[in-house]
Amino acid sequence: MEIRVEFFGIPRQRAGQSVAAISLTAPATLATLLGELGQQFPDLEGECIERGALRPGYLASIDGDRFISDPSEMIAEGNSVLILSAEAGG
Amino acid sequence: MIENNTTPPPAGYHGAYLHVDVSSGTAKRVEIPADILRQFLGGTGLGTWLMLSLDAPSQDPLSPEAPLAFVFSPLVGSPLTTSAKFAVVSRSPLTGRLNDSLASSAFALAGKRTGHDAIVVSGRASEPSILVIDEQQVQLQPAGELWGMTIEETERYLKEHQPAGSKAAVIGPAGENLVHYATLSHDGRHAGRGGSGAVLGAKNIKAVIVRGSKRCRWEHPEQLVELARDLSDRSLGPATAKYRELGTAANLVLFNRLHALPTRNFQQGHLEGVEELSPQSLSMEREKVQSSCAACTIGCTHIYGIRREGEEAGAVRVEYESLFALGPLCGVTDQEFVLTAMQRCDQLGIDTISTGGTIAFAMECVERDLLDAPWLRFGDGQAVLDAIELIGKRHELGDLLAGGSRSMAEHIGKGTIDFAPQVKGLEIPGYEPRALQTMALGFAVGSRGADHNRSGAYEVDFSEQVDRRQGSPAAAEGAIATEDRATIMDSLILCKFLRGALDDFYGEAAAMLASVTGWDVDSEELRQVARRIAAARKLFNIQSGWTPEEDTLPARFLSTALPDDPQSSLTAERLQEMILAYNRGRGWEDSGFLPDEVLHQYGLDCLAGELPSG
Repeated sequence: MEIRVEFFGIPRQRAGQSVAAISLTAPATLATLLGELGQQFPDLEGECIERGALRPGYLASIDGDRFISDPSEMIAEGNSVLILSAEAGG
Repeated sequence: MIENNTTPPPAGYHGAYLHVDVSSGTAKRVEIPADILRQFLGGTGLGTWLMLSLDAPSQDPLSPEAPLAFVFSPLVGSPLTTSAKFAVVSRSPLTGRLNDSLASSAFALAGKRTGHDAIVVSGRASEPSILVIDEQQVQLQPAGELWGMTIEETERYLKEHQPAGSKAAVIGPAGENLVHYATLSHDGRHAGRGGSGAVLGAKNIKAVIVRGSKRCRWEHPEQLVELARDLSDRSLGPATAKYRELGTAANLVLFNRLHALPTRNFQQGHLEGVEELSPQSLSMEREKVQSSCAACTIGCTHIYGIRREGEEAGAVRVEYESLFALGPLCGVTDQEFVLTAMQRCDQLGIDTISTGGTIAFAMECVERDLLDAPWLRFGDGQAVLDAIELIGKRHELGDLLAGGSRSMAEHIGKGTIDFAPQVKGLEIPGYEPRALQTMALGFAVGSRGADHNRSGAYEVDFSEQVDRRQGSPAAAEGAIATEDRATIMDSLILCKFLRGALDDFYGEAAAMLASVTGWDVDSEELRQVARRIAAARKLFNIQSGWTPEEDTLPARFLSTALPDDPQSSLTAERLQEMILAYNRGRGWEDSGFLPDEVLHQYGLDCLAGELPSG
């Protein structure tokens, strides 16, 4: 299945792009997706994500509705997953 | 001549404030008891105590009698990163309630070196003046040609004409003209919200200039230096990377994606084309330099070049709140117009959030044929610039806009108060309350009105704890926690951008305070200090006329779902449930009034007098 990933804040800086299409084998979890992102975008690994998990200060959101960080959360076909800096202060 | 204390102050403090009466040109040094310093710390906390002690709640904020306090803190002058900050505290001409705004940089260092923990100004000078304070004396000097100058011009002039080491907090033309959301500014930073610039302007004071060499001792300097080194290291790490690399403007694109970006006076939560204003786009299209406040290692200041055709090239510090308010809130996405609008607000000395909110409100009134100003249309960047000029000078329509959106709505009538974007008179910052409903609670109960600096309730919305579009009473605890943490940060004072770098906030803050003062302060004591200051703020507001009906949001947010994201819907009943949970969580009456036992518990009963209750 193909997942649309949108990067915001520092993850966008490190990925070097705002959107990516990531192919995963179903069923997939957030850990699976983050692992794949770490491989495709090496600058994310170590700072924003680490071995299939989000590092402190970073969050994911499914379709902009729900914020998640638990690596075991399921990702479904058709989801957009947002990867973002958790700090929202202005 | 300024006299010394009769009793030695705690380490980190001078143990006194300076009260200057600019009507008579006299000043007196007033000792602050050590137990008050420990109970209220400094910054906004100590400022609240000062305002209560000086009976500010009963005074018209623009009257000569009304006090305005510049308040420093025990950490000012220490090696702790981001600690060079000061609070400006008074009753607000915009809200009629307590106003405490913060600004950074060397004014805090120089002000504290005059030998005072706070400087209170009251009275009204007989002519436009500047107030010069050093450790020996206080002088009033004619403002002369400074009166009428912009913030930037005034600061430049004073740098050239005052002795080395002098630092100035100044107002612009808007402060002179008593615009109710005029700022008080220093070194490109602004005590922005609530109109402290108008309070100083009403005193005929263009600038307060401070200089001195009196330093406070630290009780455990080696420990303090070690803590400071560790904090500086962490301030350079991933927790602050967003602020350092992109600045707060990075919020814009994310909020737009979440339909949480207030657009066209909160009629939408999303605006096409807003990527144009993202830090990535700004960086690609214009020159940028970065800087930081005095004694700060984070370096969040991102200054972008402006090059409007036919105009002199300039530059402006870009922040999310300014960007949202003068851009999407007014339906504008053109970089040049938005950045110029921000720059012009900074020059005239007006709060960008209230300016954008008031102009956007006027635009909607025009759109609904409720205001006769056909030139003022959503999406018209030139109209925003023209409106800013009129506000700063209080010309024509600007005189009406200078009172803020609540005052405008009261003038226009016809139900416009339902969509005036304010709480307690303070314009709402860049968080759509229907899309971020814990923040909606934070806005509703905020002591100075709709406020993202005294409440960080949006952090709860940006977490796994809640459904951000289904606010619930369970979120009240989180909202209180962010308020309390902000209270301590604003009283110590430390920059909130450090919060992600502090793993055990209260424990670490207590260690910093202990190393400066020598007090055996711990986490629990600081939590109590936060609760005390929250109650003191409420006490101020009650004494100035607060009623429970003020703790709400405009009817628009409680009667209409966000049109472009209908799941973002909040009812009055749900908000009331959240407010009830908040009041109970604070130990206050269900109505929000303060029970006698809370006043007694926090030592506020001696300041309370006869209070109404619910």
